[in-house]
Amino acid sequence: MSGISVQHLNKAYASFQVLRDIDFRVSAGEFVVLLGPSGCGKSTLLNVIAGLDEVDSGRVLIGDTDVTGFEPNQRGLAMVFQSYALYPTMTVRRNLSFGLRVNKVAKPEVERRVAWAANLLQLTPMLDRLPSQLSGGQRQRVAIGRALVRQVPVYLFDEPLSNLDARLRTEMRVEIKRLHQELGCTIVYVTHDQVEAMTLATRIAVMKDGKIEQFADPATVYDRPASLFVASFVGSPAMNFIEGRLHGEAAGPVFRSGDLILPLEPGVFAAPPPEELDVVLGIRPEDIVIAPGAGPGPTFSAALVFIEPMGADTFAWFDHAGGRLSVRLSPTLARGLAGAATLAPDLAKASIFDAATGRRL
Amino acid sequence: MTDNNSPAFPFAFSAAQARRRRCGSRIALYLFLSGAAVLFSIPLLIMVLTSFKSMPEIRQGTIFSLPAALDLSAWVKAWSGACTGLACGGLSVGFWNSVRILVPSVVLSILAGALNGYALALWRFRGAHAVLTALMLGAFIPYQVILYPLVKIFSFLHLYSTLPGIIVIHVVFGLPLMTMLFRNFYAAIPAELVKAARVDGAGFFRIFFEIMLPMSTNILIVALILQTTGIWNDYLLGLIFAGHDNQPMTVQLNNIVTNGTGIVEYNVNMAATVLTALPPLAVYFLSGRYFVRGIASGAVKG
Repeated sequence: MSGISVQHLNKAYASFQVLRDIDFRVSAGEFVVLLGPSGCGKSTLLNVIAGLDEVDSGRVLIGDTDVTGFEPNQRGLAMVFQSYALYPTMTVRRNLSFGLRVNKVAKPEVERRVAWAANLLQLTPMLDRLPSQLSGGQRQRVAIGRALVRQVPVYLFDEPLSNLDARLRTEMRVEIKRLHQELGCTIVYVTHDQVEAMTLATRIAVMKDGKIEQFADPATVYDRPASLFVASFVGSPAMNFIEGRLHGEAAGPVFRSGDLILPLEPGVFAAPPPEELDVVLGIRPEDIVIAPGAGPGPTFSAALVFIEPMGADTFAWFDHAGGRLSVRLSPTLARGLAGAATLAPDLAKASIFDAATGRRL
Repeated sequence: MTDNNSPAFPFAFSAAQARRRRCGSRIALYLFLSGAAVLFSIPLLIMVLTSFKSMPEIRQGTIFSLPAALDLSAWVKAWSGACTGLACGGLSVGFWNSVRILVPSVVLSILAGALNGYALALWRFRGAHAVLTALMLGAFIPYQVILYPLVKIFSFLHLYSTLPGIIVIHVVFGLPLMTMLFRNFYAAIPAELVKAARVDGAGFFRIFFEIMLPMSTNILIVALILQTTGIWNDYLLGLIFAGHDNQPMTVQLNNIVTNGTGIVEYNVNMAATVLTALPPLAVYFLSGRYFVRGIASGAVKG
């Protein structure tokens, strides 16, 4: 079992800085997801950990070994690629065993491991087929199997599910989670899909422009996003944002936006807030409820724009001072909705961001 | 346009009109194609006919008439008895010389080109672009320009007028085209395949021989046809670099046909020419199907 330690990585292609001082540590047995929009450097970071890309400065440690200058196969890791990258002229069996044959593993051991992986991934009936004779989901399982037979301490996944349709993706997600729990290996997993990140990860590293914006467990990333970017990227629909100003008053800090005045709880701040500041208040769609009358907390009224039924939930979109607010409702409650409604935000769960820097206060 | 009576397409052709149009253009197409086929096959036909005639028959000047009897003596003489200067061993000597030059030249030039193309397309090493540009330039320089320096270099290396010498020449001159052909083919292969193999622990040559080469059947056959035809039909390089003992079939054919002494044996010359042209033709006929498939696969996808 070995963890990964990435220290002050920098990498540029010509004048474009892909990775900026990336520094994080993955404990042994952890499932870390690198999450971010395309072009944020997450795949490059994975390639650097794998040894497929060189870095300009910084170090990569796997276990206690500095592997920065090592070839990929000397690092004790296996990788699954987005395009599956199966060897097209080899059967499934030979695809699975290729890495073992290259590394001169004894024949009986090769056969034992191939049988084990094929059994684990339900590939046994198709061991003698070529990749072109398999469906997308089967190819993906072969690609995962090819990594598993190596029996290495670290596995890297580069957007492995993005070529699958929605149903298969859900199935494979569960499969990967089960594999991680069964094998107890260390996994670094790249995706731009926030649902994959939330469901699979023990910790998520949200990346933007070659930097890690937040590195925390999924609940923290969701409930207490470290920046406006993280808040808007994680969650669907995104967190609601209201621009306004923070005032320090005797009873505590107060958020003002137009004629909306919301007293804030001190618990939402990591550090004591400044007296006066332009801020953005963020609140999740499920942290706003429709108040039948005057509730205990502050309320405000907003005009209903439209309703989006999603099945289990319904999202109601309101107009507030020119901005859109989404509220998560039960479908029954949504049916009675018309015109305007009184909204009651749960301010204990609000996030306050500095409008200038975008960082959480 | 499945429903011809549909008023939804008032300006569409009726089925009969369309059929007539299609039929007309078909006829024109076939006329043109068969015309072209006749034009190209007349010289070949005259050659084959003449080669089966006896000399008295040829002197009558009826070049389009069929031979009176199937006389194979000209073919036998062309293969084993025609004279080039003082030697009268026929074309067979040149044929085996050509085979000795062709086989290693084709194998080595394709292998080198494939390896080059693979390295240029899938291993982005420093200076790859400069190497490619240099190779492109190489493909466009007419080789007559560099013949003299090459002769000097080869004689300095003691390769001039030797079998290895002419093989090296063919491999070197084949390299730009072969490299380009394979580079374009391998450029269409996803780079992740190489990455996956590297993570699996395979090195440069192992990836080439175990993964890339087995995927390259179609393009290998294209390369095989191009190189076989090119090297077999080569005259200038063989004349200059092969030396007297290794003269290829084309050079010997020229010597037979332009032999100044005695009467001109048209039937023998024709038979000799057809014999010399046969091997590339055979390669085309045997692998033409793969040739088309290979060119298409190289152009459209990996």
